[in-house]
Amino acid sequence: MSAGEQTSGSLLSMRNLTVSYLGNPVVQDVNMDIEAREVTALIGPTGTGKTSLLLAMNRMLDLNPHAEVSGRIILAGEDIGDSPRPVEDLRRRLSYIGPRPACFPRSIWDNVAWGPRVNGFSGDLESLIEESLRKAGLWGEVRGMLRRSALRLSGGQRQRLCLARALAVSPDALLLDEPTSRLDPIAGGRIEDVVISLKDEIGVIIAAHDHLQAGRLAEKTALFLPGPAGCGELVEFSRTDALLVNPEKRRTEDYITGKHSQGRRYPA
Amino acid sequence: MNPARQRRDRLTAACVRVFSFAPLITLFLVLLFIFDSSAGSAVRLGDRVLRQWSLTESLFGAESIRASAAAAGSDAEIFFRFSPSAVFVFSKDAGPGGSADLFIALVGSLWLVPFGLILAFPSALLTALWLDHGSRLTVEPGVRIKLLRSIMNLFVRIPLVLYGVFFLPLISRAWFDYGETGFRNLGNAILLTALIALPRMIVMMEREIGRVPSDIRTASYALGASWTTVVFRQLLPASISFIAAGTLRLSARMFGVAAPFIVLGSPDFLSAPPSGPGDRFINLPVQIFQWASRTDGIYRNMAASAALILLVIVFGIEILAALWRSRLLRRSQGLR
Repeated sequence: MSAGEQTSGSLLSMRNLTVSYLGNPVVQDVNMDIEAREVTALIGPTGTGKTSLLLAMNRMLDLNPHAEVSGRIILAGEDIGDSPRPVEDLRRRLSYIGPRPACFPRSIWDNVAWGPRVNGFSGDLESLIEESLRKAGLWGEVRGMLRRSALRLSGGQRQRLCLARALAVSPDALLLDEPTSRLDPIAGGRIEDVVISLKDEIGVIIAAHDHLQAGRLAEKTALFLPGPAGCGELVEFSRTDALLVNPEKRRTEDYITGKHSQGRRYPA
Repeated sequence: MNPARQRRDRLTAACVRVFSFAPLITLFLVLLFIFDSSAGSAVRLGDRVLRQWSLTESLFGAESIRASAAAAGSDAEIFFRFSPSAVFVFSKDAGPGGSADLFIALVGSLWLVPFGLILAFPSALLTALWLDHGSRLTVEPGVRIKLLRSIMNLFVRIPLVLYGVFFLPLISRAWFDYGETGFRNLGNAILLTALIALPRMIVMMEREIGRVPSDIRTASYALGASWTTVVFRQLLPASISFIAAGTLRLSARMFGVAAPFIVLGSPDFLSAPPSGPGDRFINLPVQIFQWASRTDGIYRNMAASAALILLVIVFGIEILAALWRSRLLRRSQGLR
């Protein structure tokens, strides 16, 4: 497939994408078009390749020699596998944030400034840091303590600091890998508020176990379930309200209503 | 609970409590023994020390000491000696055999340990970074990494004397072959120190670099950093202080190494400290070994005194490194 086959307006397209580790596929034959400036949720049970898919999108999987990616990922009309641009530039454009808040062991200010410095930012760093922290909804809480260690922040604040750090490198999209899975509902709610506030500016692709979170955040949702071979497969990809309320496939309905686990049901 | 079982549990707990102090008690006894030999009384006639007694002998055999002094002549005097003193270390005429020997040995150790560690440091750091990089990227480390790790662990575990035995032919042919001293010189001893330190340093550095969590590396790559950037802006800043503390601790161990240098050909006696890599050398543990090998009681007392000085150096460095490391740990956890 040529790069020109990407749907117009799409930020990212995947064609026949398969991710394998040591020859064993974890997710296969994924075909998706992800729009810019909207939130796309990847939902499904553990082990269906959501994280692998996120890591394949910005070629973080290149760092793992045991991982193999086949198929094509097209970012803004350019196949990322054949792109002459350095892979670091791609990773900056599609910034990945993991489930654990990975603050650097330095000050809040240094955490946010780290990415721009590494990428050769030459503008007004103070303004950029303030703007990034404001976007991440953290400015009001840390404005008087920017030089304090980021390790003193709470779990929720740390995750929002990671968001601010990613936003400081001006990405085209954020790849969020279960960003609220280790947070309490209130801290998780604040992260969701930030994601909602960002959707007019950049694309957000969020992996989540929870389809309710997808319902709250995402315009479109992709459901991944274990296929016959045991690896993940894309079952349905459509607008979130349609997928949750009126799914096209029986398997989607079973997952959403909790009937997916080999006939086991919770008592009414 | 069964009363018999309760009694047995209490007895076991008491035994564990008592035996947990065994290493400390052993150390205390060793120190006491060394101190007993280091201090005591002596009889001298003018500048010449005629005979020495240990602390215990001095306490319980005062009569025989007085008799020895009387037999030595009317000018002989009894004095209290404490050998591990500044006079013992630095004075050139403070005892038989010349206490300057100890100063020369100290200078030898100060040449060997820092320069050996400096020599090993760059290659150890590069190897540790490579090992860390290779093992972090994969679930299962590759064959080359496993092989290198196995070799490193093997070299860490083999007896130190074998370094001297195995590397002697290598060193004797390749480096620093000076006319007068041949290959038995300080340059080769520094090289040998570096070889002994290298695997220990690699293991220590890989452990310290590995303390940087994977999440931080992933987050750095995700912000557009290259491997070099991650190394220089994340891994090294986060681990270099720990590496320095680990190197300090390693230096304490290297201060106590004697066997390979004896094999390399450290002399029995040196009249002047080494001033360059071509000179002959002797270090503190070798000097202690040489003194302890002599039959004369005075030399054995000097060996004990030198051992006490070596212990102070080694423990001092160890304690300093441990305190530094604990401070760094607290800081890295955001507690400071």
